[in-house]
Amino acid sequence: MSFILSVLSFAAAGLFLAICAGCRRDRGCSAGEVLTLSFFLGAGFVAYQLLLLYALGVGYSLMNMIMLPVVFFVLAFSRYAARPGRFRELAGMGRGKAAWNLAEKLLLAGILLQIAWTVLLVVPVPVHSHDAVANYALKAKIFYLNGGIPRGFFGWEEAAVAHPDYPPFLPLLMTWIYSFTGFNDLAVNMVMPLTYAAFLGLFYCLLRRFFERSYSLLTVFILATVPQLADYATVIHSDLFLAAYVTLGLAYFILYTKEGDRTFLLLSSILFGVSLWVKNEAIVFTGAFAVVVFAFLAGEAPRRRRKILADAARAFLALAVVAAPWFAVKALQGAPNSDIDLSSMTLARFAKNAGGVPVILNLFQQEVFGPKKWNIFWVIFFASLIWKRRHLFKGQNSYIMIFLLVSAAGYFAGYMLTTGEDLFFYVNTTISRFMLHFCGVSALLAAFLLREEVGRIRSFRDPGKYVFLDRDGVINKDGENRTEYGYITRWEDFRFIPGALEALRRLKENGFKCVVVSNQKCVGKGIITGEELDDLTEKFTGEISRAGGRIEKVYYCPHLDEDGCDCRKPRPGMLFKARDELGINTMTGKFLIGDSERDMRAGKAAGLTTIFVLTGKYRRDDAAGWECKPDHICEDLGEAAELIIKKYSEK
Amino acid sequence: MQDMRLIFRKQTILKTVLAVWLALWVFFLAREDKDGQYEALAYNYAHGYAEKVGFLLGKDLYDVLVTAVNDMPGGAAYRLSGFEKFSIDEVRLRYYLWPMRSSGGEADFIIFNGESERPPAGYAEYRRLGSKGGIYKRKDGGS
Repeated sequence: MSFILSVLSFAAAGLFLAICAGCRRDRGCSAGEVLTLSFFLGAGFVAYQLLLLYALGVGYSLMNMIMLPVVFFVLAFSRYAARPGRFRELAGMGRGKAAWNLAEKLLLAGILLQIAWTVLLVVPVPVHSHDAVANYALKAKIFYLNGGIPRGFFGWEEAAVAHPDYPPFLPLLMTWIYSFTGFNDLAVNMVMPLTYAAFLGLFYCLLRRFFERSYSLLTVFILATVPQLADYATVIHSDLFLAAYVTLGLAYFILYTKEGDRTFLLLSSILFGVSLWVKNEAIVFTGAFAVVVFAFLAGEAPRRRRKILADAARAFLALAVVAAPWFAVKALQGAPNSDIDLSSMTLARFAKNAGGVPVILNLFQQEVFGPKKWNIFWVIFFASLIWKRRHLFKGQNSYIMIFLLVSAAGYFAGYMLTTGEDLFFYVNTTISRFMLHFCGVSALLAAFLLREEVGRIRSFRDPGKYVFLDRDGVINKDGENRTEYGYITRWEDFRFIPGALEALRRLKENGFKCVVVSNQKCVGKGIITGEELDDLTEKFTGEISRAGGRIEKVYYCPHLDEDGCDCRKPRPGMLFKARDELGINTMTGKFLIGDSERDMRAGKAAGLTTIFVLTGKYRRDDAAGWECKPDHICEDLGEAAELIIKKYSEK
Repeated sequence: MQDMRLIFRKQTILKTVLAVWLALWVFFLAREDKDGQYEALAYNYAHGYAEKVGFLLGKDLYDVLVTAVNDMPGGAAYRLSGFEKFSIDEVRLRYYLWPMRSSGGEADFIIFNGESERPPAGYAEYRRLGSKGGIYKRKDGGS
């Protein structure tokens, strides 16, 4: 009971921080996401607060420790109490309406069984493994019995305590729990299965932002049942925490690239900031995070860069604020940092260790292909990379790939620069644990790479109902022979085709998500600027919303034919981008409505069912002569919408 | 037709991989007992904290630990002898002995493991547990 109270107390602080960071229903945050995120933010808060108390010379009495969480909880509660409806909203967030199929039930049962198994293994056993005792439990015992961190602790000799300068996240978290439970190294173990469950829960919630339920459950099941990850949920080690913070931090970043909401980048940076309190290796991951943020910035259109730059500046400021106290205390105490001694990181050492590269490669391949029981995860992962090699640097995949490559390079450089004498011993004793740090991120990448293929299996079929629409000639009247330049460049020229608004409303009412994919070479020609096009988009999508419809997202290709881009229809690049960003498992069974052969060819290339409407500049006879014939021909968007609704109801 | 065959093959591969994963998962769960884990688990569920620690450390080392905890003054500085450096026994002893503090330099006590010849200069035998180990104490009484 006291253990539960200890967790609830820091989770309450985490809840407040999550709400402050902007976790709200209108951002799609489910109750599960908010609660599990609260656990991780709260755990970070514990380390942050206890180190600040130490810096201020305040002892770790229960009263001193829970004062801030209580204030935070009251603030969070009063914010909700002001509008009681919010409690109901929070409780009902993310409630699924669709019935669970058998595969989903089995996967959920498997995940729960695996979590229960870890609990069963942990409950009766005191802290016992080598690092758990040497590196974490002893420190926590010292902090607890001393009523705080002893003065000068971070500079203590190794004979007294191993690695006193090591990031203090886990010992501080254990100290927090001891303050509630008394010194009890049985109860404190429970924090690991709980972390494991929270990690899987939040990972699932984030996957649901990209994938449908069955596929998300499958991914979580695979990750949960990687035996080494489950093993690390049964011992007090910070590796599970590091894997969790890094995976979740990156997942929030990927969400930011998809939705553009700076809250997600902020959460991502906070999680990476907390990871720096967990293990020294987090420095590598945080560096890789910075690289992917700048890669994203560089890949975006110039007009969006200013916003992304502002978001990134805010996020890195938050990261610095989160990480600063630990590094400040460490620097002020002259903590020696026995693991990362910058003075000994020389090129000469790198050159000396370079001769041991075959050793690292050999041990690495043993980890992947050797007989260890969890290697099948890595076999599947690397097989996915080879199978889907053409997709590795597309859409969100590219950011995860860059993150993995930079992090792996960082670990490799770490081996080369920090290992003194016995490279084989050091690599041999750490590589298995180090690869665990990459498990979650690798599972995330594999999920993105394999979603279309797995989506073809009946149990994991994507139930998402998407309709892709061309704009001019489908939703609004084409500008040719009507406007100044032959293009729709002004809102005044934008005329909805009769029945189009009603058709979009019908699609929305029947659960379809509409996505516009449109060539707009008028931008490439300089007739209209990107900002003007965005302005026009905002106006017409707003008009559709007011009429009861909804456009999920709008994709434009601004290029000219001679630019040779991948996105200009008849090429399917825009559709694939939409698929990647919207997390659609498979294009099979989804529709494209267009008014030209270009649309039909793009739709076919993407695997969509195509519908040709006669409200553009081509007639039924024209279509008869096309090389790529449409699957269906309809008079207008209204008829196409009814056809789609009927087709789905027949399914 | 060729596409259909391709899809079928991919699906089959994926289904096979998932089936193998499931089978291995069940197998690994069942194999948890390979090192006698179930027996250890049953023991831990059935016994109190002291017995669990004794089970972890082994009887000999546990007796040394109990002697040290009972007979050495709280907060004493000690040094471990006869333990492999960074061995699990060494780190566990350091953990259970806190607030007695392990010291790299001069220590009030030396806790030794197994048989030991004679006390080092400046130390006298304080406790001995046959071949299990024992404790030496500094002759001048230490700090």
